[in-house]
Amino acid sequence: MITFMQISKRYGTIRAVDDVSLVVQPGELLALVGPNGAGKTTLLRLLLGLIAPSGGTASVAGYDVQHNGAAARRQLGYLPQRAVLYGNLSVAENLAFLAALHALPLQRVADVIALMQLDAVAQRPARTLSGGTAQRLGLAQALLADPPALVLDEPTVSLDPQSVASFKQLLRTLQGRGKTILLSSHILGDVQELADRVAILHAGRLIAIDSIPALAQRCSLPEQIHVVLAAVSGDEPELLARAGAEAHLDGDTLQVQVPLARKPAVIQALLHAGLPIRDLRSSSPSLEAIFMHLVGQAQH
Amino acid sequence: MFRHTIIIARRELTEAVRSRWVLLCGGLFALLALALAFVGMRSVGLNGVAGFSRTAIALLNLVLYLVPLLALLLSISSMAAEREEGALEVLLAQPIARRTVVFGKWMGLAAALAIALCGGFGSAGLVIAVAGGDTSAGDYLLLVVRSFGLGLAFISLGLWLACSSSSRLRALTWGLLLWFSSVLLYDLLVVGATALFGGSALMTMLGLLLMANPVDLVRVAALIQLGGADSFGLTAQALIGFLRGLRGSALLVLALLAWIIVPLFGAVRAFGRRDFTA
Repeated sequence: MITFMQISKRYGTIRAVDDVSLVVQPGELLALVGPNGAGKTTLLRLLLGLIAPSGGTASVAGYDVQHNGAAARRQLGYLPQRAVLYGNLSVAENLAFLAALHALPLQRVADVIALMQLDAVAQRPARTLSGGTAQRLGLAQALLADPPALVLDEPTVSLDPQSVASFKQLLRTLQGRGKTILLSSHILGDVQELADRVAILHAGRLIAIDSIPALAQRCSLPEQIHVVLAAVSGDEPELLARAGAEAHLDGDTLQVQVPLARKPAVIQALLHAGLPIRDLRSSSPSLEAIFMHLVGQAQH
Repeated sequence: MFRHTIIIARRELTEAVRSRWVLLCGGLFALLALALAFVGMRSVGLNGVAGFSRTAIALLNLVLYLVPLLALLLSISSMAAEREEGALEVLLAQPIARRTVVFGKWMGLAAALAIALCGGFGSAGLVIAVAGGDTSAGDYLLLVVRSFGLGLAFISLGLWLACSSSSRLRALTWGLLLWFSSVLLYDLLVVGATALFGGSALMTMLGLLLMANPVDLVRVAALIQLGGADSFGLTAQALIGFLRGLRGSALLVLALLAWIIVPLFGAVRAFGRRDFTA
């Protein structure tokens, strides 16, 4: 659906985006993550035709952004970091303006206002909206023409926790409806919850792209096993060290770090040791750990 | 494309009206016209209101100062603010051509200026007609039309500056320099030219200098029509003799049109080429 082919953007000697190639499949939510200045926003702007590439191409549904920009943008809804369009116009007027540009009937404006629960503020000037409501207006603008793909730039950065939760719920609904979503964010917890795949950018370069479990496997990062014990003797970490796992006690919970390949052997050791296990659960490495590992590698 | 242009123009006009800019400018124009109409009669020792012609002459210099400044400020602020506040980013992410944004803005700003000028001078004109009993409003109307033409040229110039500059501050600085040069500094240049040249060379030079500044174009066109050019020197009289004719008048109109169209296309070109970074 969205393709970047060896795309680059240079400002003098600075390479904001450097030879990036990636494909976002139809119906997929791909998250762009990276430190500040990694090139996430520049990549989105290249896709929207807001900036011209120094080399390479970007296309949406087969339409080249440089040569057939209007057709490419017709496939996209865009939610920027600063979502409000015209502050002096009301919420309904902002949407009606965009609807007119897309030649949509006014009924569509009413539908989107209802969908985004903006009825109560529909007649208010957009500049008076709170951060969360302005973000909902931004998403309403992006969804107005019902495009097959959405481009979201740091959509949750200025939202309170409640708004973040409802925003994530909305994204899941849109994913369920088959929308292709390209999301830029540095809030890794949100990305871990939502993304089908993650593309990690560093200094303008794409250093990794895959699903989170595949990235974790590639990094060989240890998994965490949390073992809640009915009684603690204090010898448990030593017992697990003999099975090749690093462990420490945290109250009545044994925190075990184990490389993925040794996980079955460590679980066997735990069971054979006859420990009074009350609960046991394991968690994959966090996206934050993966991100730090890969960015650390790229820096060296 | 034209449909998009009209939609953007309508939105631009709505914003200009909501921001009270149109109301303020219209009020200012009305106030100035009325003040000059009343003061004009006092200065000749009479009470009442001066007629349209006398008021038009008195207003000319004010129009030449104010209209370019207001048009520059309006156009630069509109384009640069929209860019800096992020609205342009959303607009350009829509399936529209970039040139429609510039044309739409230009049309919207032109409509806002037209409303301010017609509303301001029009309401003042009504008072003059009722209080002074003067019904020969031709000179006064032509002044409004010329002011509008001058305003259009400076809206185009302002958009060009805004599209070519990296920030609002930089565009405004260039805009003020342009206003200062064309309204104040330019006349010193013309006076300098008259000292350096003589005879037919001076006439050619004056003609070229006249075409090179839209403010002087409108000033000379207005003075010719209002009869204020009779006090000029011999060379200027010769030039004005030519400009009074049909060909001369057509040349003045074409030159003003060029001042409206060329900077507008400069703005379209600059806007089409620029990168919209955060």
